[in-house]
Amino acid sequence: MAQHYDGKVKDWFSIFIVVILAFFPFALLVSFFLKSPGVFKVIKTPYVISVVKFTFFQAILSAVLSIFIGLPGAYLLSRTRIPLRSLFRSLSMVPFVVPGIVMALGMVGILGRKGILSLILSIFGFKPRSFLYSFWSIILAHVIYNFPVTIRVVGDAWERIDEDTVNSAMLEGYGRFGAFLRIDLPLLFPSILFSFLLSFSYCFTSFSVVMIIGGVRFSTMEVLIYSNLRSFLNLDVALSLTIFQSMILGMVSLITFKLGGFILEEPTKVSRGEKIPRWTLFYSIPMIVFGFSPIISSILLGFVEHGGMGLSNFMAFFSHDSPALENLTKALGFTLFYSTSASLFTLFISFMAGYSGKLIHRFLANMLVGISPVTLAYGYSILGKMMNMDINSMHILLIPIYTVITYPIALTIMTSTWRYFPKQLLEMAEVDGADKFQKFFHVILPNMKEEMISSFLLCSAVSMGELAATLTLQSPDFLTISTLIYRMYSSRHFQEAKVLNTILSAMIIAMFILGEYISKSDEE
Amino acid sequence: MRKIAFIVILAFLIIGSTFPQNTLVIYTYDSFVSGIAKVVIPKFERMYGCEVKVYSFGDAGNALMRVFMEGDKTKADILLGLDQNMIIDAFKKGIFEPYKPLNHSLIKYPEFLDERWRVVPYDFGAIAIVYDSEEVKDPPKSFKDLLDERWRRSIIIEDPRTSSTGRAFLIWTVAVFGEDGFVDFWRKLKPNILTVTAGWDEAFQLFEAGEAPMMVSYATDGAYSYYAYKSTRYKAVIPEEGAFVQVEYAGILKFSKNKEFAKRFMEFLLMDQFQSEIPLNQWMYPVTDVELPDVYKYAATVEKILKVDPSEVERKMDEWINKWLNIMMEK
Repeated sequence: MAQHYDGKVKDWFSIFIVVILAFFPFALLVSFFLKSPGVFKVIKTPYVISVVKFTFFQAILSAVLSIFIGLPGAYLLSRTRIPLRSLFRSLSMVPFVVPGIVMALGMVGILGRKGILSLILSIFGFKPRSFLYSFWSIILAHVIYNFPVTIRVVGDAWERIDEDTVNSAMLEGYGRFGAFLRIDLPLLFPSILFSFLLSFSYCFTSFSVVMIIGGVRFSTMEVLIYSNLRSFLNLDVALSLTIFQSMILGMVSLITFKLGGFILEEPTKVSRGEKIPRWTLFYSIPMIVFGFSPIISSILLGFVEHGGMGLSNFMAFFSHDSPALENLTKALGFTLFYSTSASLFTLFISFMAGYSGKLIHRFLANMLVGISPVTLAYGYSILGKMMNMDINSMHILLIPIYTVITYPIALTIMTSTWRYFPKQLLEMAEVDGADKFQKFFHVILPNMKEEMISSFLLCSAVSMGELAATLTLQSPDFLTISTLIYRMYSSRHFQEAKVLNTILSAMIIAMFILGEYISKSDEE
Repeated sequence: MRKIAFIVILAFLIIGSTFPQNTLVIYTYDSFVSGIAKVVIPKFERMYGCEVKVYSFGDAGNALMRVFMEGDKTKADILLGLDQNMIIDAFKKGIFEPYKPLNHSLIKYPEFLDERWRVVPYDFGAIAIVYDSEEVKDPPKSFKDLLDERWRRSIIIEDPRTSSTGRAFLIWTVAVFGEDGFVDFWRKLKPNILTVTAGWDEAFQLFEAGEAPMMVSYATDGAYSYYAYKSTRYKAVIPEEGAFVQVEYAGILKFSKNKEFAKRFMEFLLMDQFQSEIPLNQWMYPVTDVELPDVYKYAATVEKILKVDPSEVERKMDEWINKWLNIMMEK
């Protein structure tokens, strides 16, 4: 009976928290502003219909292509002893961590008029040209940012396919590719669908990449929501579109899981004994170059100056009267404090939800992907006002907001961690009479340390870069690195803004490296 | 004794909470806080012996949203930074208390005034085409020049749905070509547009990365570029058809609890102490007759201001944006 009760608690706890933290403030906003139900008619206008269609089309196409491009990588990582394994794995975090605008600029660095490709072609006498601003450049950008997701998600499942089964198929005369089609692929199907879901949700809510890289003709629903949010007279339209978008994402998550069967594989021995294929180098080099381009370009931003590269931005940044330097310590303090507090909280909820493993958690989390941070922040500022909070302390509400924003990512990691967790260890500990805390500290923690830390670091990195909601809840004495960057740009302190961008990216990269270092030392 | 002390403290607390404190609260946009406020606010505090708190929530639209959501509970006394199009939204909600500053005659531009004095203009800027002079030797002089074939995929603009700069540019074209002509202009301009960004920041970053030699930006960009980088590489040009100006306003809120200080602040906005700080902090033009700094010789000159009726803009903006969108969506 106690066991049963415990089960119910773990199922409902995260659902309760997510509803309180995310859907309650959102509902508050809806109850204030969505007075006329007629506003839902906006969804039926021809323009909105065409945008919805386009949003679906580009998201499906991008997600499918990302899987095709990512599968060879997933194979290399999971079945062979390829060097730089952790580098590939950490790539999968890039799209979730790096803000859209930086992603777009990363693409400009490669495919733009003065980008790498144009530069290479100019050596052969071609005129410099941009390869961006078309439908296919949107898809290309999305694929570049999402194939690492496939590498990680599918790779994690592929590691656990029994070597003997594959070998016996090959003994029957099938080549490695034949064995892949008959043995690996059916077993990988759930993880492929899951990877599809993650990429699809990312591309569905894509904003800056679509606007900047796509050019004039293309809009996603998120662009429509944002443009309607800009004017409070259209807030009801923005909210109804948000509800619609959120429902779509929730439904898509249900459908994918139903199709995938959500199989809980039994953990087996990880084997990486296959020979490294000949196409490895051919595949890996462009993948690493493309995959890391956004983060590298954001690191380099601080060195870009009028007509080249140099240190003049840093000199301006460290000059005596620099407003950026004056506020740097404070911004760093707030950024670190809020991002780590929120991430700890997120880790806790996603840990519980992952343990429960119920489909509803994924459904709710995917609905959250559809609610933009600024909408959430509006809901919270109403809540703060209702609670008579002082305007100077309202930024404390960023903790639950960051939690909501990072929850879907943490849930992804924690769900897969729990799926592969050897549950018999818990049963054994129970037989030995271990209580909850002993089980946590002696069984769960040692086995999950790596994933928990990487989930924590990833959530911190995302919170650090968050801008829209942070701006909405700021006050004179409060600022983060991302709002400081915004301030510097809007007051034309471009040099300082670029240096801050470099600092923020360096912090994010440092987290990547730290996460990878920890997981590596764990593997050894 | 303790009882008396308690009553005294209680009395202070009650008085303190009933009478308005000497704190003036302003809601505005970000660059005001990190820029000019640092220079002018201490001056005001010294002049009137009060404390001023300046809050920003990103851009002016967010500040307006905040006032609107807080309603009668708002802490703000003044909302500062709305342009002529945003104030229409604000007027509809009736959030301002009219006040005619005692020194109102200092304002040089009668066309900027609100007839009911719900808001007071304090500065203005002009939209311009900014170009990279290393790539563009012979910049377009008129809107018609901008349609020339040699500018194929050469200009970056901002989306009027998401950016105030983009919105101003669209209104500008309506002001130049009229409601009948602007659609045709945009249809012809389209092949010359490289891309449309959500905000000015992104457009500038693409421009700086060398993606296109021109972008829609501000008339003072050249002056700023010289002031900050001693560079005259980026130059601004206002087409000869005339300039479209964005006027920024401030107004006292109906629910302000500190109206006397708020009124003094409205007057302060028009004093030399405030107006002379505008050019190098806001990179906008003052509304009174203060002298412009030397670097403004690198700014594009505003010779002719095109008249646009804000109430018409308010009425028709959605329609214009839809027409614009249709052209952009055409294959």
